[in-house]
Amino acid sequence: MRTQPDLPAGAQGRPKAVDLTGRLVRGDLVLDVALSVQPGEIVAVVGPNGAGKTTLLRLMAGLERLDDGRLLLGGLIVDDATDPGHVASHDRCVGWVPQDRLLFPHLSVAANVGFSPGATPERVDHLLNALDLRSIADRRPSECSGGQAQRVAVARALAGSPGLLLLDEPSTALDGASRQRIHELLGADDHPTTLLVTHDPVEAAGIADRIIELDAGRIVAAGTP
Amino acid sequence: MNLPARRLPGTAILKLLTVGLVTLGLLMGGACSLLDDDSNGDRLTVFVASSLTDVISDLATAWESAGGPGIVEVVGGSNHLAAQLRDGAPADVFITADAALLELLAPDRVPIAVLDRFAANHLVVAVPIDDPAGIHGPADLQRTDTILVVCVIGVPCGDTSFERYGDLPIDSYEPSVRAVVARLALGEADLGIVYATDVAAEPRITAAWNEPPACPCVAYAAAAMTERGRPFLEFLESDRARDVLTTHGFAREAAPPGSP
Amino acid sequence: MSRTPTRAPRSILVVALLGIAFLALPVVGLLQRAPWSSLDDLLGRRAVLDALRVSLTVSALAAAIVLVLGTPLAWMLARVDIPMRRLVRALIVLPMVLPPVVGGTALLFALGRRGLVGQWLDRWFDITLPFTMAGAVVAATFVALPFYVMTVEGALRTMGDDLEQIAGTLGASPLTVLRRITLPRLLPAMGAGLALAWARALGEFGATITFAGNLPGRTRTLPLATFQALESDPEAALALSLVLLAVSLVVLLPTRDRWLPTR
Repeated sequence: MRTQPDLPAGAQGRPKAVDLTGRLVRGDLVLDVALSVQPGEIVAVVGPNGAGKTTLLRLMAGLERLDDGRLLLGGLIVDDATDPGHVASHDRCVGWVPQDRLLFPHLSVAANVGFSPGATPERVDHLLNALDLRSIADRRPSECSGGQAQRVAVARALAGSPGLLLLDEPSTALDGASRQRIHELLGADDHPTTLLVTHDPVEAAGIADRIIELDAGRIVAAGTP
Repeated sequence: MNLPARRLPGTAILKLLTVGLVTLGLLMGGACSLLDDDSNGDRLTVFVASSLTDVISDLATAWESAGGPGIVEVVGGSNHLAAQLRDGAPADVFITADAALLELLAPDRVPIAVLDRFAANHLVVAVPIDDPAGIHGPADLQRTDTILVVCVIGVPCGDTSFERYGDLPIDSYEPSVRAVVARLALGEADLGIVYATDVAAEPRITAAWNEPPACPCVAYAAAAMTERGRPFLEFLESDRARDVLTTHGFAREAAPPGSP
Repeated sequence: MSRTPTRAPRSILVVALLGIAFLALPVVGLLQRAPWSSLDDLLGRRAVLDALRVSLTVSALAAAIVLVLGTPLAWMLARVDIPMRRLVRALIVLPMVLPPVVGGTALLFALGRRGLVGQWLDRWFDITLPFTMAGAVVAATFVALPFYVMTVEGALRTMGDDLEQIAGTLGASPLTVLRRITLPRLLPAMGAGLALAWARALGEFGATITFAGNLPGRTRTLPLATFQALESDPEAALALSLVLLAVSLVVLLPTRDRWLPTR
């Protein structure tokens, strides 16, 4: 088993603590959770479809707003239902990898990975190598396979040294080796606080410090693997 | 299930296209006849030069009270109307501000009878009623700090303006004398060349200076394009018609060209 | 490389063919009546060259203004939750619905020398728009703007804002997102919308003649010159029509192909 050299430190992004007590309603889904995550902790989020896992991640990323309650990142209030002002996504220092990846189609793989203003050339380089993306660095996302695209999305989120990493099913199209590479990155020193939505119990057990189970918008179980 | 052949058979296209075109043709023909109103019944269709817009309704009233059938007026620039007539537009009478246009109608449409120079309209330099630019005399026509509008060359009003006044610092050639009047009435232009009848009819404009009517001017000709139109020409020569025309500012007949 | 579907329904093809025939017929009629023998003499005339120059200048300037004014407007309509959105959209579509002459008259009432805003322009800044080339540009912009805005707004809606959202989470400020994500992807639609708007500006007649007037070399565009020539010199009118046709094709034909989206 290879050991990877550590990721060069980014300009920002100390791992952040997450404190959420709140509620939001989106159509049929009522998400109602109280959750605390320690800085650097990796939490796996499991549960059936429609449980609200993606919505939870989007809430952390700043793409949804609470109807009730508060969300704190790194000790700072970023979303407060009683306050119309809230901290926008680009100020939250998060890295989000959605299920459909959302790579920028008009930019090359390398440009995608290096997109974040906080991404340094060294970090970008390291990530391209670590995730075996060097050979396709100049290609467009449309020319990449599903597995390649997933790796690009993860690299892109990590390049900006986020304090909170949000991964929504990051490994579905990956073979074992690629999955292993990502897990190594996630577990490296000084890794960000991570919330990882996954269907794969093995993945959850392998990498997470804690597992929580979401069902119909509520946390129904929590524990260590 | 059989897959359709990759190339459509030529005869099938032809058949479908024919059906489609015929249907389209019928539909459009039907729509046209709905929209068109060729026969105005008993009424006379009279094409009138646009400078006669105001007077034609009074003429129509006088004509009808003398026992004539109702009139349908089609107003436009004389050239425009002549072009339409040449293309086959139906009309019983054509009153033009340019008699020369009647010759251009041949050989397709030849008038049955012509009443030449039955009325005249003199050109006047006009200004908006409040005279914003302070126009006093003919020298002001040459000013470059004012907005001067005239009729476009090619319509009788425009041709006559050029004949009378020559080259001027013009800012816009309007498609009809009505447009010139509108510009002046709205105060968008400082001075313009219009007809005497327009000054009489439009309270928001006035003659820039006083001068006796002179030619080159516009002389109207009336042409009967069908037999039904003939009585209207006779009416135009009557005293009743002349009264109406004079009231609106038309001259009884034009002074010969070249007179002061 | 694209492949045409092998199962195109015949009825659709036939109707489409009819549509093409309908559009092509007047053009064929024009080409057939054109005075080909005396063409270079007609085209060399000062009047024609003047009209061409005015048309190209006015339509190009109008297109530029449409681009600058219309892009933020389209973006706002597609992305921002504005009050009275329906009213705003109706306002934008209005120039398409108004007969151009009515539009020109309305412009006069607003920007003419005695107009609502125009009188202040005249009094304070000595700016007159009617009877100037600037006025022709205003008239052309007025009628062309809706075409651009609707094209670009439609594209923005279709594109959705997912990519903008994730760009935001990666730390890019809204302006950076606009510059690096939205605009580059919007370019094909902007090009198409601009071509449409430019074509409309080129062909504009009613609003131009009503608002800006008609003066050779200053405000007499190709459409105005054609209309005028129809009355006095039909052959010249045909020649002018051909020029209009040629200019339109020269710009529109190559452009549309290049600006189809590549992904």
